[in-house]
Formats: sequence, C-alpha cells, structure tokens
Amino acid sequence: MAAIEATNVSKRYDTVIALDRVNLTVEEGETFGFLGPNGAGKSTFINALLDFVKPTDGSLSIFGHDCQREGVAARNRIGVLPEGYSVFERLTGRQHVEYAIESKDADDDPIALLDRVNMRDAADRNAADYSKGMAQRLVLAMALAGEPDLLLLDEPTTGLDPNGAAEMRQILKEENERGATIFFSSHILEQVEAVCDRVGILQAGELVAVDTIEGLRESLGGGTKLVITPSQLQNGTLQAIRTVEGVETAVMREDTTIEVTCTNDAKMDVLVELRDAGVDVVNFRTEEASLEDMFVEYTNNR
Amino acid sequence: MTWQDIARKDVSDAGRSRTLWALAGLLLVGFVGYSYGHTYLGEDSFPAFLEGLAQVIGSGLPLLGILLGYKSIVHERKSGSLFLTLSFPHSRRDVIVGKFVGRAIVLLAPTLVALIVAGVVGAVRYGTDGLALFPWFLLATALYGVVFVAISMALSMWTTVDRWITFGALGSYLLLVQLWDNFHSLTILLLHRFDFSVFADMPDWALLFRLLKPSEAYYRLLRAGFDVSLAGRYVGDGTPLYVEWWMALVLLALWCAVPLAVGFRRFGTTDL
Repeated sequence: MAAIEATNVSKRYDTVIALDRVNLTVEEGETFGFLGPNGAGKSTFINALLDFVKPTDGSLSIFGHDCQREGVAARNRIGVLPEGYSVFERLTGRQHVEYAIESKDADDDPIALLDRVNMRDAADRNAADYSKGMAQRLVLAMALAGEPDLLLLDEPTTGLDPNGAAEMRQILKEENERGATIFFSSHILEQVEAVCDRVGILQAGELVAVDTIEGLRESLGGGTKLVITPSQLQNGTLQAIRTVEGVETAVMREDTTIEVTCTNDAKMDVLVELRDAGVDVVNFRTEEASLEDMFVEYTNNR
Repeated sequence: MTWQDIARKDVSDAGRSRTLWALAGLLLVGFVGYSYGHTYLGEDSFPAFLEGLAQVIGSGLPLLGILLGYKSIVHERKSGSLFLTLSFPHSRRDVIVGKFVGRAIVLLAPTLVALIVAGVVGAVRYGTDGLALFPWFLLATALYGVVFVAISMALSMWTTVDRWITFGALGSYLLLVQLWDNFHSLTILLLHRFDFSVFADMPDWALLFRLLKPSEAYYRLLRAGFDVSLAGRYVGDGTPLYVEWWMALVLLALWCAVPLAVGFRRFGTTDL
C-alpha cells in the first residue's frame, strides 16, 4: 500500500491556483523530498494531507485512508511537523511531548524523545520562550512519539543552524532505517540531496518532475559542472563558451571563476575554446552538477 | 473518543493561568459578599436569598461565560497551536467537544465552589428552610452558565475576524442579557402595527418569546422548584402548556446545542 497517494489534487483560491492537478505516489519505506521555491504550493499540499485545507478537486490518502473523509484514521500512524504552528503557551517542553504521547496513545518516555532531539536540558522550560530552532526540535520530538509509520515534515530545518540541520538529517535516516516513510518539503536543496531516495519538484502548483536524484541528473543532460579559474577575463569569453556545443550555462562567480554546466563530452571543447580565445587557465576542476543547479534550471526555464 | 485529551489539557492549561485564580477569587468575594449584603436587600429567608443571588448570577455569569469562550478557538487557530493539536489523531469535532467541556469546567468549578460557600453562609444567616432547593439551584445555574460558553464558542468557530468576534461577544451579551425585553416589546409592537393596547392583553406566544431569553428561562427553572407564586406570569389559568418549567429546560438546552451546531457547521468544513 502506498504511504501517500494523491490523485488529481487541485486547490483553487479566489484568484490563485495553489495546486494544479497533482498526482503523486510515495511508496512505503521511501524518503521523499518535496522541493519547490517559496509559494509553490508545498505547504498547501501537506495541509491538504492533514485536512487543514480542503482540496477543490481530487483526493488524497495516507496508507489507504482518505485524508478528508477519514482524517483521524489517516493521521493515526503519522508524525507531523506542520508549517505555521506555534507551541502551546503554557506548557513546558516535556509537557508538550507528554501531550503528544497521550494524544497518540503511545507509551514513549518523554525525556528519551527530548534527548533524541537534543532538548533534554530545556525540557522543563516553558516552550513559549524557546527559539524557533528549539521549537522545531521540540515539535520533531512530538512527531517521533509513537514510532509513526510516516513522518510528514514541512520545512523541518527552518531555524536550525547547520549542526542542527545535520542532526535532523541523521534522525530522519534513523527513522527511515527503522522502517518509517519520510516525506518532507524544503526549498534548501542540499538537505534533500543528502537524504532523499526520490524528489518531486513543485512549481507554481504543478508537479513538474518526480524522479530519483540520478534520474533528474540524467534528464538534465549528463550534468557536469566545470569550475575554471582563468588568468584574466576578456569581454566575450562567456559568450564564446556558451556557443560551444553541449554547454548549457556559463556564469561568472565572484569575478574570478567561471562555472560551466555542460555534457561530459563538452568539457574538453570548453577548455579548447578558452585557449583559442587567448585565456590562460590557471586552474580547473569538475563537479557533479548539484541538485541546486538542476533545480534552478527546472524552475527558471519553465 | 479523544475529546477527553483536549478537555483535560484545556482545564490544566487554565489551572496554570493566573486569570483563572483571580476569577475564582472574584466569584467567591462576589457571592459571599452578597450573602452578607442580602440582609439589606431582601426578605430574610433562604429561598429569597437564592432569588437575590440568582439576580446577580443572571447578569454576571453570562459575562464570564462569554469571556472564557469567545477566543477559545480563534486564538489557537490564529496563533497556530491548533495545527499541532489537529496533527494528532483528533478530529475537529473532538477538538470542539473537548474545548467546550474544558471551558465549561473552567467556568463551573469556581462558580459552584463559590456558590456552595455562599450557600453555607446564607443558610447560617437566613435559616435552612428551603435548603432542599439548593442542588436544583446549582444545577440550573450550571446550565445557564454553559449556555454562554456555547454561544461564545460558536462565535469563535464562525469567524477569524477579530472585529466580528468582539462585536459578536458584546452584541450577544447586550441582546441576550440586557436588551431582550426591549427587543421582545418592540417585536410584538411591530407585529401589531404599533397598537399599544396589545401590552394589556399579550398573546400566548409572547410568553414563550419572553421565556426564550436565557435568564428568563433560568429564573423560570428556579421558580419551578421554589414557591409557586414566584413563577408569576407563567402560572395560572389559561397559560399555555408550552411555558411549563420543562420548556425552560428545553430552551436552555437549545441555546447550547444550536449555536454549537451552527458554529461547527462552518468550522468543520472550512480551511484553517
């Protein structure tokens, strides 16, 4: 059974189409990254899964339970970090986790959960005084209560420092190894790249791509990135590179390096072109095109 | 059924709030204060003391019920803590039922405790004749208070626009507690084309209309247990069956159920 199944889901507001006929299946055990720029409709989709928002058309289900008609059953085995929440005003961190455990009929140890997200020391402080990052950790601990079969996380790394983000990814990996399906949204791509089996890219309410990272790379033409440090730059060098067959983009970075994305075969041609233009190459290296490059390409070229 | 989780949390949240303890203190001072003050205000008997106390409750308790209810849903919805609650396997119905029960407990616990203390003082000062009515008095008061929790919670479910909620809370208090009698007279006058003689000979249904005012229904309930003569206009030859005491019970129950149902009709199907 699919963990998440969306069939033709649309959400229209008066003047805006937030979701446009989205079809998506997330299989059990997957880690699925839901990508898109701000305002693409990621949160609307997740809120529809949680029945905070009623879709205009189409249907959604979690483990076979319709999210609108059987919302309680759909939310029974999931852990959620929603968007735009605020913590309860008068509860400590520990009381928050206790409430989550109680609500899910689970029997976890609240302190053990807080320990996992590195919040043990703040357990007895009023959560209203937490920073955004601490609140995110707390709500993640609440989401982990009851060993959910699906974790549904909306921008989970918001407010976390790089260390915190790495810890979050580690927890997601552990949960996935335990057998949980993970579905999370992000506009920060390296996070998705690091942990996801598959990604979906949402753009202006439309799901424009769903694939593995490798699959996306392939569909974007080999995806090699050349980082070149020339001795000096002349007018027209970039344009010259762009005319080489197989080159997709060529941009300046910080006035000293040129970044070129191109097919594998075109690498030598680019260097030859530079030499012909009279530019000495001080240094160069190749990188695999990051998801970010692909993402920018997907969302800008459409 | 998960509404118990919500209700329990709501009550313990309130227990952590200073406002609630202030409220309890206020009620205690108010009610016990009246038990002393009644000496100067009314007849020296226990039923008369309860009558007087009921007058205080009649205009005071609605205010507290409304204050406890009118932000109960909308505040959590706008701050976003409702999202956390509804991420759990709670339905929106559970949230509403739990909140309603929670707020009712938060209103009634201090009210009833203060009334019992005041009742003891009253019994000591005005004698124990008619003390058997006291449980009935508490029950009717509880129902009356809960009505205003229901009405204000309905308001809180209906809209997220602060202005409307404030107007609604103020408006419902003014209409249901202060201005109903004027509204009643005006309506009858309008229906009789400003023929003022209608007040001398009211149609039967006007009694039911008057009884629709929550405090009127509350007093009708109280008087059903008390001295019959105090039931006044609702008792006597030719008064219709539909203003018997049980109708007051039915009307108060409707004042709870109808607003909650109407509010939930909207809250249950809207985008949060």
